[in-house]
Amino acid sequence: MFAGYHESMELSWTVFGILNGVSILLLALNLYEYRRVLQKRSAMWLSMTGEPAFKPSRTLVGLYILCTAILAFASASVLLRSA
Amino acid sequence: MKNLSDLPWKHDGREAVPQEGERMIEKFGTHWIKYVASTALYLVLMTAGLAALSVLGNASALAIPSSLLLSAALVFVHHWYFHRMLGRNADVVVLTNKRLLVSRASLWIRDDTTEHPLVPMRTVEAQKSGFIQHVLNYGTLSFDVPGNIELVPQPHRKAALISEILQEFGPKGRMDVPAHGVNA
Repeated sequence: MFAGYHESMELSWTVFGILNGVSILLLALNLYEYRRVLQKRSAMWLSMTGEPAFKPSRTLVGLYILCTAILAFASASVLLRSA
Repeated sequence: MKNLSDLPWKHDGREAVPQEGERMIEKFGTHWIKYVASTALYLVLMTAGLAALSVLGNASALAIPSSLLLSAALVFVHHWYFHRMLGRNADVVVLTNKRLLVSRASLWIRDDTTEHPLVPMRTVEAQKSGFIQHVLNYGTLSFDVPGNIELVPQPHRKAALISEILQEFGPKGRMDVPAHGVNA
C-alpha cells in the first residue's frame, strides 16, 4: 500500500511538472506575440519619430511573470502538504 | 482606374506605411475600463480556486488528483486572462495629420488596423453617455463617415484636436489633394 502511495506521489509530481512546463511555454508564447505585435506597430512610426512608439508595458509583463510563479508555488505547496 | 489594393484605406493584412509628409500628432491607448470586467472575473475565479486548493491540501492524499485538475484549470484561467490583457494593452489609436489609425489585437488570433482617412471627413463628435463614462471621462468618437472609435479617454479633447486638423483642410476638405496625400 505504501509503495502504491509512493508511485501515486511520483505521478503527481510528473503531472505537476508537465503542467508548469505548459504554463511557462504559454507565458513565453504570449510575451513573444505581445512584443511582436508592438514591434510591428512601432516599425511604421520609427521613420517619423526616430524612436519606437509602442513599448511593452513593464507592469503588465512583470505582473504576468509574478502571478505565474505564484500559481506554480501554490500548486507545489498543496502537493507538498499532501505528501 | 486605380487598383483597390493601392487605395490608402486598404491594408490587405500588411502594416500601414507612412505616407509622404505624414507626421504623428498624438497616440493613445483606449481607456482602462476595458480591463475591469476581465480583472473582476479573474480575481473571483483565482480566489475561489486558490481557496479550494488550500482546502484540498489539508485533505487526505486521495485529494491529489482533484488538486492537480484544479491547478490545471487555474493555469488555464490565468493564461486566458493575461492573453486578454496583453492583447487589449496593444490596442492603440494613432492620429496623424492625414489619418486616424485604430489598431486592435488579440494575441495569436487577431491583429486589425482600421484606417479613417481625414480626407472625406468633415465633422467629428465626442459622445459620453451614462454616469460611469462621465465620471471616468471616456466615450466614443464618431464621424460623418462610417466607423466609430469606442473607449476613447478624454473624448472631447481628442475631438477638438481632430477638429483643428480638419479646419486646416479648409471648407472643401482636401479633395483637391491626390489620393495618397502627397504634400504640395
